[in-house]
Amino acid sequence: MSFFQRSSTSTGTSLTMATEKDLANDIVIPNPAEDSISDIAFSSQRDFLFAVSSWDGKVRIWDVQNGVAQGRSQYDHAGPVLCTRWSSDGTKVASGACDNTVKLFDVASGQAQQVGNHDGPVKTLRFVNCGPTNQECLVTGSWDKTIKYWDLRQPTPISTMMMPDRVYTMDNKQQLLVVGTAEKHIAIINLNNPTTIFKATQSPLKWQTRVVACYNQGDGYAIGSVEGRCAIRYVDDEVQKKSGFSFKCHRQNSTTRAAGAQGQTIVYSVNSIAFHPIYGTFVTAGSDGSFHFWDKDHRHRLRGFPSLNASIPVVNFNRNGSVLAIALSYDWHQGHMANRPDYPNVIRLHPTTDDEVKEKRKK
Amino acid sequence: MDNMVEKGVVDFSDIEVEKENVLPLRKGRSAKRLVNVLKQRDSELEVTRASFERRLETELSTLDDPLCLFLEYMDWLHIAYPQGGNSKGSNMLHVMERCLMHCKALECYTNDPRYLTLWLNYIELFYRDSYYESKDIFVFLYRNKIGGQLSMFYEEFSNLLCEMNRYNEACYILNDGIQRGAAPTDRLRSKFNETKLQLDESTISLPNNHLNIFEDSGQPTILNRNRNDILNASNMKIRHSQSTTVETPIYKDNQEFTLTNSIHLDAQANFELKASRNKENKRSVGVLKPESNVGTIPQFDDEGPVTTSKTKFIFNDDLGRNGPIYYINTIVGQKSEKIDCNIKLLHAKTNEEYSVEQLLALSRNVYKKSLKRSNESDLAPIKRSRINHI
Repeated sequence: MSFFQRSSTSTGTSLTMATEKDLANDIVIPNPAEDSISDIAFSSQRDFLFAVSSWDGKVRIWDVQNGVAQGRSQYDHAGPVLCTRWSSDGTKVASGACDNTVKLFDVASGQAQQVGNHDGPVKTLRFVNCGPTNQECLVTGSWDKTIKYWDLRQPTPISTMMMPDRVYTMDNKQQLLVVGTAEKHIAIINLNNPTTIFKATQSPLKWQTRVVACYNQGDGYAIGSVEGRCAIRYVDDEVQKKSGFSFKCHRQNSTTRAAGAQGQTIVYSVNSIAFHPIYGTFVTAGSDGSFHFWDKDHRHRLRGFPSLNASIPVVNFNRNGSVLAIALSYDWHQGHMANRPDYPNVIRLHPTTDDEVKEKRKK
Repeated sequence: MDNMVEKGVVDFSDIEVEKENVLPLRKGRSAKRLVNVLKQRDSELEVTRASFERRLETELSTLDDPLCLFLEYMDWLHIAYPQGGNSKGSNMLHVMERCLMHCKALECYTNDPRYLTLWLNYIELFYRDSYYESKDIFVFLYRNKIGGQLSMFYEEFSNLLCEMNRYNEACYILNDGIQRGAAPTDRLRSKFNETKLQLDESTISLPNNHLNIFEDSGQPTILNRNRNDILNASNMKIRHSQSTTVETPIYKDNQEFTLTNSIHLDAQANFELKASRNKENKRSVGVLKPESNVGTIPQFDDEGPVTTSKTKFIFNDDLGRNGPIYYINTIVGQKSEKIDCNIKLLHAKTNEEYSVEQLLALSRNVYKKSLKRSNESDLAPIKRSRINHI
């Protein structure tokens, strides 16, 4: 952790709201791409190596050394890149793009090759270990309403699964793969039997699904929607009945309102949810430009951060959860007229503290 | 000093502070009256003025010599307003023009030296800065035969024409005065000879036949000579134009003043007061009154050429430019929620929803909906247009 110059005076206080000071130690990478950032993924083998996909059609690989972020390499797609992930051995980076292709980049050789394709833009992908043999393969979800499993050696997928609608989001932990699609469908797949949908359900939230994220234990998933709401779900119906809930987040009370009128809440989209790999707490990030750490088991917020004044399209933890990468860039949720030239396009690397991310034991 | 006051000698120190404000008069000023006036306040002046005005109203029609009353009034004005007749408060212009117009109708003043002097004063006071307007007034007088029997008129007119470098016309006017028998004839004759002598001395030669030419009225023999022209050059021009008679019509310009044309015209032309003469040259400087309409002010288009406005039009796409669109979710009994997202856009009419990434991809032409569902192709154009408005 010597890469970050940690403040010696750890606050120690358990204030729910953080201040600008708590963001002062962040490493800021201004203009890491020529267009909005779509995804961030950390290497599963190294602490500070991460890949960033962007709407400018490029995937860039960054490294942090001595507190300075450096671009390591990059490769191109023929269209905006929507997702990127590292293989479990840390040697390869996969990415899916609007050119309908899936590419695999060998970090050591610097060579990128197409390993698969869809009939529509590839929105999301994960490296999963599936089947009885725990074979690592790549699963990709696309707006062509399918997910495909690739073994990365053959140009044809191992398996193609029809989804209820266009795949918006997907996440995996252990043997659980959860696919969120348009029309609020949720498809749950048990990777022991990867070619069948274990359970098809609907999001309990009223509006469009933005993101799903699986718990570390692989027994449930969180859903974020466009209207500032988060649902905590469990695969098992009994557990769901006992522990499932949803809560509001990423909302602001409108400060300006007409006299006599009832206050109005401005509701922002929940764009990204990431679970801490060690502690199992999670972070949500929204279009309001803020991110919050939550503890789902105790149903409370660990720490909230002030708005960074730009939409956060994606956040992600590194492999041990010591760093949270935050992308700040326009995510198009307000249309093109809000896409000003001065809209920030920034990646922040936030060193997490236990105060923020570690669940607090009940007294 | 007491002695001096007794003797009626004015102490100059009373005038000292005001001396720059006192306009010299041709006939001089009475220092005593000047001091009195300087001591007077405006209200006192107004009292005197009002008395004059009252007299004008009541007595004017009954007087044998109305000019006398006017002259008295104007004399007082000259003294009461040492700054001169042009000064704002004096109202000299108005009084003088009233007098001139009133007496013009009266036959007895046609050849009255006082009346003519008043005209000359009028010109000197108010038209000093414009030869052409002065000339117009002289022409007006000439046509109306005001001072037609007085040498003074011809002398002053010729003086003006000389100043305008219109020497033949000046000579013509003097000659005309002699012909008409203006009195005193001797003085006019000597003035004529004097002028001729001056012209000879300054080597300005006149066309020999100029008088004959003048008499042939309608022949524009005196061409439009700019008074800034070098005199010799202008003479050359005259000779040239005379020798080639064919060219004369070419130089004829009715807009330009030629004395022979204008002077013999009908005498009925109306005299315009200075205010109406200058009406086009002045902005209205009156104080704006409430609820008064000063008329429309001409506006000039700053739009520039048509081409730029066209370019503007191309880039001025107001569709979707009306700011971020929010979805207001109202729940009865609760605070309304303003969702920072155009949910109606995400949920298109066709019961199909789109994520913002899809919309962005659509707007960038990297994602075609027709790939997903073939039976949607007929709806695609509608949606496309919709998408473009994000």
